This record gives sequence, C-alpha cells and structure tokens, in this order.
Amino acid sequence: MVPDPYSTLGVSKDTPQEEIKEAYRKLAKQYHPDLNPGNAEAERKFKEISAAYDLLGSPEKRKKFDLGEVEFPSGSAQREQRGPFYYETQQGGGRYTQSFEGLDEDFLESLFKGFKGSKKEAYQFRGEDQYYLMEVEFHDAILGAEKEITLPTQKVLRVKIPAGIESGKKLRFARQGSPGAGTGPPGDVFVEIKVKPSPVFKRMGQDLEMELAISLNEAILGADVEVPTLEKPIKLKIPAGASTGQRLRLKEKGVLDQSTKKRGNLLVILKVVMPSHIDDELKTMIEKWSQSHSYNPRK
Amino acid sequence: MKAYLMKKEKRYTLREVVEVLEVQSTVITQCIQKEWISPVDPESSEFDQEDLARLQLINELREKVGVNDEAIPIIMHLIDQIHCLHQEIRKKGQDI
Repeated sequence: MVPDPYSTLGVSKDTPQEEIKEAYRKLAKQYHPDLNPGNAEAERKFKEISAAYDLLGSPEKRKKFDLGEVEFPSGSAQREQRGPFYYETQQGGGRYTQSFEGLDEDFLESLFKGFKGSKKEAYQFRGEDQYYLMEVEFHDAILGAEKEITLPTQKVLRVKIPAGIESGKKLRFARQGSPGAGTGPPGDVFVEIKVKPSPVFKRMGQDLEMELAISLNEAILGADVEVPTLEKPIKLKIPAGASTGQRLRLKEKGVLDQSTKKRGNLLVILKVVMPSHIDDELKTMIEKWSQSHSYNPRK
Repeated sequence: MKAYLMKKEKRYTLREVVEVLEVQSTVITQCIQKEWISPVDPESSEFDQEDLARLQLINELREKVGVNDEAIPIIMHLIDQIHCLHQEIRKKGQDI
C-alpha cells in the first residue's frame, strides 16, 4: 500500500504547486539520511517523502496522479536503484573520509586521554540502567521463589526472589541493561519488588500475624484447631479458657531473617465468636451460672 | 547497524552516471571543477560508488533541499569532518 502522497507531505489536493515544493524541501532538510546518518526512522521518512514528491513534484505528474494514472514503483524504489546514501559509502572509511584533512588530532587525543587518565580505559561509556517493577505474591515474598520474567526488550531474566523480601527492595541484574558504547560495559537491570498483600497474614517485621476465629466452646474447653501457615496447615492447641486478643505463638513459621538465617514466628491472635443464634438452652444455663459466678472483665 | 554491500570495484562512466542519477553532465563536470567531488580515476573520468553517492547527495542538497552553491562546499566539508571523526573514534575504540 502506498500512503497518500498529499498527506505524506502534509499538504492538500488544492495546495498550490509552489507550496508543495516548499513543504517537500522542509521535510527533506529534516529527514535527509546524510544529515541523520544511521537513523533508520529518518531514512524511512525520507524515502516516503521522496516517493510522494516524485508523484506530485511537477504539475504534469501531479495531474497524472490526480487522474489516477500513476506508475509504480515510484520514488523510493528509484532511490534504491541509484545506490547507497553517501554516509553508507563512508562507514568503513571511504576515500573521501580518508583524504579528509583538517581534523584536530591533538584535540581528539586529549579527549580520549582525558576520560579516565589511562589509555586502557579511554573509550568507555557504560550502558544505561533499566528499571522495572514486579508484583510478587505474598507467599513467594516470604518463602522465596524463582520466577522468569520477560523484559519489554524480550530478554528473559531468571529472578531469584530471596525469602523474606519486602516491598520497595530492588534486585540488581548486573550487565543486563542497555549495551555500552566502545568497550564500556552494559548497564544493569533493577527490578523493584512490590509484595501483594495476603488476605490472611500480616507481616510485622520478621513475624507474621493472623487472626483465628474460635467458637465459644473451643474458648471455654480448649481444643486442637487446624490453622493455616504459609506452608501446610498445622494443629494448634487452644488452651481452655482462651480469650479474644490472646496471642499464641507458632515458632519459626514467620519470615526468614537473611542476616541471622533465623525465622520469625507466626502469631495467632484469637477471636472468640459467639454462636449466630443464642438458644434458650444456652441462655438458661448462663443465667444460672452467672448468679453465683459473675465477674467484671473491665476491672 | 545496517550493513551495506558496497560494490567498490564497480566503475561508472560519465554517461552511466548521467543515466543512473538523472542529472545533466554539465552538473557533474561543474562538481568536478569546483572540487566537490574528485573522481576515483580522473584520467579516464571514471566514477566509483562513493563518487556516485556523493554526487547524489550534492544533487539532492541543491535540488531538493534548496541549498545554494555557496553552502555546498561548507556542508560537504562538515559532513566529511563528521565521518572522519566517526572513523577516528571507532579506531580509538578498537585500539583499547
């Protein structure tokens, strides 16, 4: 498909011929590949506008185009037949470039020496660092995991998430960033971690906290209750006479401390939940019990 | 970076250049007289790919970009200077 040459040049069907030429010259100045060596986008644009101007460049050609009597291939193909752009012939050091005189060699020399003092390190530009954000499941953040992520550059990174990582921590991947120039090394990739919250667990430093609902009977009589942990569920002994707010500790079911290699605890906070319906039997029983056993928990 | 297969050995006669570039031969001789281009073989007045590309650029600067003849040698000088700088930088980069 050939794009409409009028819109390529940014003119309309009734623009005077002289203005088309002006529009074309303006674009040619901007996009000529020899004025933008190595810029593929500029080259593409230049070919496009050349092709457009080949169709509209003279009143005769333009009339032909308007009547739909154009012959393709047009300009861009013609340009190709005429050979490479000048800068392309000079890339490996062309004749004209070799014979160029008047370059300030001393200046170049001092420029290169100036970089880091020694010649060995002269031409080095480190590539740019790249930053990404990665969401991590709560479970993976606490226990650690290995993930593969595909960067927008299609590069695949194996990410080792260390156990106990917190939101805001950045993982560094040396030399995985943008390429360097000269002998300069590539930049790094930084992946910032964002831990998704858990509906069950709350992190408090190296400890985890969770709320555990227990029934009135379990609170009074005590029970063995199954509680979830980040690994498999375990049995927890609820002591008889347990109360809301009471904390039971499950040792070493918390977060790994990377410096001490010790795990924190999982604190289970009890919450006594009344039966949804208080029946007569319970009511009578408590009435009778409270006559001789009333107590004031607010004291 | 785009690699371009250069036909360095290929030579063109004046007539061929006129044909390929669609320019008048007087324009070409003018470019030679003003030393904007110096054909690879001045004796037989043969042109190589570099001459052709350089002529093409000059022609485009004049005809398409609207550069006047005063400015052509300045522009070509600056372009050559940039290519030369590129070349030097690349060389220095390899030396290290």
